[in-house]
Amino acid sequence: MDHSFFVQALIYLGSAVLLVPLSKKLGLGSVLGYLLAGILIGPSVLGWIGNDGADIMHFAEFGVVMMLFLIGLEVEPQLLWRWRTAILGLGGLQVLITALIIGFIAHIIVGLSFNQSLSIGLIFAMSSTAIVLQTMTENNWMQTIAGRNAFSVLLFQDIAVIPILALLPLLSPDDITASATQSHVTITQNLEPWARTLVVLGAVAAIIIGGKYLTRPIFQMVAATNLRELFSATALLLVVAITVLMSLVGLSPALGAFLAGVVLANSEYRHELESDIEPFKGLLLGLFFIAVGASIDFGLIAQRPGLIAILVLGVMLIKLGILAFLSRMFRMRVDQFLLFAFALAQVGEFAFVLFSFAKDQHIFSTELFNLLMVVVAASMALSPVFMLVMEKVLMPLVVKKIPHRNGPEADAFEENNPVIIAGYGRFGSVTGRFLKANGINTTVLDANSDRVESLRKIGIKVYYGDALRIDLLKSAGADRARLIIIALDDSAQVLQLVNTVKKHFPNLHIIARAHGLDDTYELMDAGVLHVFRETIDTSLRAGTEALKIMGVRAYTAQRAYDLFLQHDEKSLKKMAAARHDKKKYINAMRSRIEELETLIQNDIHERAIHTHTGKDMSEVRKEDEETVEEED
Amino acid sequence: MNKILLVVAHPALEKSRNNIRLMKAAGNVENVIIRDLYELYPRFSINTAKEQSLLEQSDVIILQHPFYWYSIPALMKQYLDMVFTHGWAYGKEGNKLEGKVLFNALTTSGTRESYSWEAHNRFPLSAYMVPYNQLAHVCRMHYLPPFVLHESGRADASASARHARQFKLLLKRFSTERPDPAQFKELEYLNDYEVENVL
Repeated sequence: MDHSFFVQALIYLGSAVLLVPLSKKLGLGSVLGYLLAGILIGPSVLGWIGNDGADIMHFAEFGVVMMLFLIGLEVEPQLLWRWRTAILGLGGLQVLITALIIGFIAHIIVGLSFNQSLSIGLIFAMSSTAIVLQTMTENNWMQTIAGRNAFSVLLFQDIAVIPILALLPLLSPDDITASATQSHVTITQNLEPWARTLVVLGAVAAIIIGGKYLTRPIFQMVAATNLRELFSATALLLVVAITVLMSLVGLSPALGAFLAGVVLANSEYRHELESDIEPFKGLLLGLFFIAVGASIDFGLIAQRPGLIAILVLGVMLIKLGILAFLSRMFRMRVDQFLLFAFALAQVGEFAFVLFSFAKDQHIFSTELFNLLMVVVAASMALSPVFMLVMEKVLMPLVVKKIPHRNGPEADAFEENNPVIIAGYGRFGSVTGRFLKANGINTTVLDANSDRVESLRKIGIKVYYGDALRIDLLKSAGADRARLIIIALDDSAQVLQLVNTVKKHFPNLHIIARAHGLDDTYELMDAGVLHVFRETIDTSLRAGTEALKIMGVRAYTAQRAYDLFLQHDEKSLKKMAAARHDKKKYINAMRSRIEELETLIQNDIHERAIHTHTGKDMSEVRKEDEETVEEED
Repeated sequence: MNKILLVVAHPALEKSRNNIRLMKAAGNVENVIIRDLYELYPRFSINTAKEQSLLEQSDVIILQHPFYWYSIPALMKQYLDMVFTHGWAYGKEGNKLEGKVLFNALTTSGTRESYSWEAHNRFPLSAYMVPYNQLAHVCRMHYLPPFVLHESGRADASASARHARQFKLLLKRFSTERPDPAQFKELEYLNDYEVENVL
C-alpha cells in the first residue's frame, strides 16, 4: 500500500491536471473535466484504477460535506428564514411530484413492484448537490434567483434523505424486525423511536450551541498561536467532528456541516474558515467527480445501450419537465427557469448511498441495482452536457444575456460591500467609523485576534484574517469592491498588499497608509495615487493650534495649514525623484522649507491688500502712484 | 434693554485697523455680542443651531465687513446661506427674525462721491445694499441704511478712531432705545443719523 498509494495519487492527480484545464479551456467546465478524467483512468478505458473507485467515492464524498459547510458559512440564519417558501414549497413539491411520477411509471409501465417503484421514485428525485453547486459557483450563478432556488431544493433534498433512510427498511420484503442489517452503524439503530428522535435533536442542538459558544474561544486560542496551519487543522477538525457526530446519529453529515456553517456565518472567523477549507473541498470534490466517472460501468452500457439510453434520458427529461413546471408555478423568469430546470435534472450522489442501502434491504436484485447505478452515474456525467446545451444553445435563444453575477436580484450571499479595510488599528478604525457614519458599508479584515474579539464585543463587524492572502481577499469580495483602504500597522506589509492588489485586483482603488517618508516614496513608486502619511495631518493640526495660542487668527492659521499640506504633498514628488542622489535630495529638502515660508507670508499679505473694495485705481495712479496700503 | 448681535467677517482682520477698532468699540458696549466668523469657523463649517439661537435672542443685528467686490466676504455669505433658513427665518412658519432690525457696517476704500450714478462706482451704495435690504424684507425685519467708513485705506488714526467712537455711540443708543424704522426712511447712511441726533 505504501508506494501504491503514491502511484494512485499520481494517476488521480495527473489525470485531473491534464483534463480539467483542457475542459475549462474548451468551455465545458471543471465538472465534466473531472468526470472525463475518471472515465479515462477507470476500468472501462485505461483500467489504471480498479474497483476501489467506489471506496474513493465514499471518501471523496467528504468534499460534499465541506462544500455544504462553506455554503452554510455564506448563508446567515435570517437568509435561511427568508428562503423558507423556496425550501419547503419548491423543494417539497419537487421531491413529492418527481417521486410520484417516476414511481408511477416504474409501477404501471415498467411493471416493478410497488415498493421498488416507490423507492426508485424517491431516490431519483434527488439531484446532485456536488455537480449543481460546483457548476453554479464556477459560473457565478449562485446569486441569481435560479441559483438560490436550486440551492433551496438541494437543501430540502438533503433533509429528505433522513426520512427516506427511515422509510426504506419498511419497504423491504424482509421481515422488518429481523432485518437490522443497516449498511452503516449508528448508535441510534437499537433505540426506541422516541429516544432516537431525542438523540437526533440533541445532536442538532449540540452543533448549534457548540458552534455558537464553543468555537469562538477555540479559534481565538488557535489564532493567538499565529500558526496558520494550526488554524487550517482546527477548521478541518470541526468539519470532521460534525461528520462523525452526524453519522453516529444517522443524520446526513452534509446537512450537519451546512447547519454548522450557518451558525458560524456571523462569526469573525468566517472568511478565514472559508479560505482554509476551500482548497480541501475543491480537491475532494474533484476526486469525487473522478470516482463517479470511473464507476460508470461501460460494459453494462455496451450490453444494453438502448435501454440505458432510454432510462437515463427518460429520467432526466421527466425531472426537467417537473422542474420546468415548478419554476413556472413559482413565477421565475424564463432565463432563470431554464437555468434552474437544467441544473437540477440529473440524479445525484445520494442515489448511490440510498440504492446501496435499499439493495441491502433486499428491495432490489443485484442486476436491477447495477442497472440503476449505471443510470445514476450516466445522468451525472450527462449533467454538464445538459448545462452546456442549455447555456450555449437554448439560453441565447431566450435572452441576450445569461444571468450573471451583476443581475439585479443579487442577494447578500457574500460580502458585497464597496469598501474593504485591511487593518483596523488606530488608523483604519477611524477611517472605518467615518465611512460607517456616512452610510458606506465596509468589510474589515484584521489579523489581530484579540482586537477582533474586543471590536466584535462592541458590535463592529470585523473579520479575523491576514489580508495579504489572495484567497481571503477574494472571499472578502475584493473582485467586486471598489476600494481597498490599506491601513496595516506594518509598512512592509502595506507595500506587499499594494502589490498584491495591483496584480490580482487591478480595478480596485487603493488608499494606503504610510508611516514615514521612506515608505511614502515607495508607495508612490508602486503607483499608489492616494498615499496618506499617518501623522502629517495631526501634526499640522497641532501646529495650527500652536499658532492660534500664539495669537494668530484661526482663519489665517487654517490657511497656513492648507498651504503647508498642499505644498508638502507637491514637493514630495520632487523629493521622491531626487531621493537616490544625496546632494539633490538635500537641495530639494532645503528649497521645500524656503518655498513654504515665502508662500505663507505672501498669502496673508495678498489677502489683506489685494482684494477690491471700490477704490478708483486710476485715481491712485494720478496721485503719483503713492504706495497706499488698503486697509479695510 | 435691547440686545445687539455684531456679526463680523474679515478674512484678514489682523491687518485691518479700521475693523479691529470697530469691533473693540462695540465690545465696550453692554448687551453687545460679537460673532467673529473667520475666527469661529476657519473651515467654513458654521454651527447653524448655535447661530440661530443667538439671532433669536437679539433685537438688532449688524453685519460688519469690508466691502469686498461690492459685497460681503465669502464666509459671511456662507453664514447667511446656512443660518437664515426656510422655516426658521422665512417662509410660512419662519418668523424667528420678525420685527428685528438689520443693517450693514462696512468699510470701503472708495470715496463717498464715487458711489453715485455718475462716478467711478456707477451706483449709489444703497443700490449695492439691495440683497440685504431684501433679505430683511423677506424675513420680516426692518432694514436700516448702512454705517459706512469711506476711504478706509487712507483714514488716519484720528479719522479711524472718530468713526469707531461714532459706532460705539450708535450701538449704545440702539441698546437702550429700540430704533424706530420710520426715523431712518430718508437717511442715506446711518452715520448721518448719528451726526444729526447725537453730536
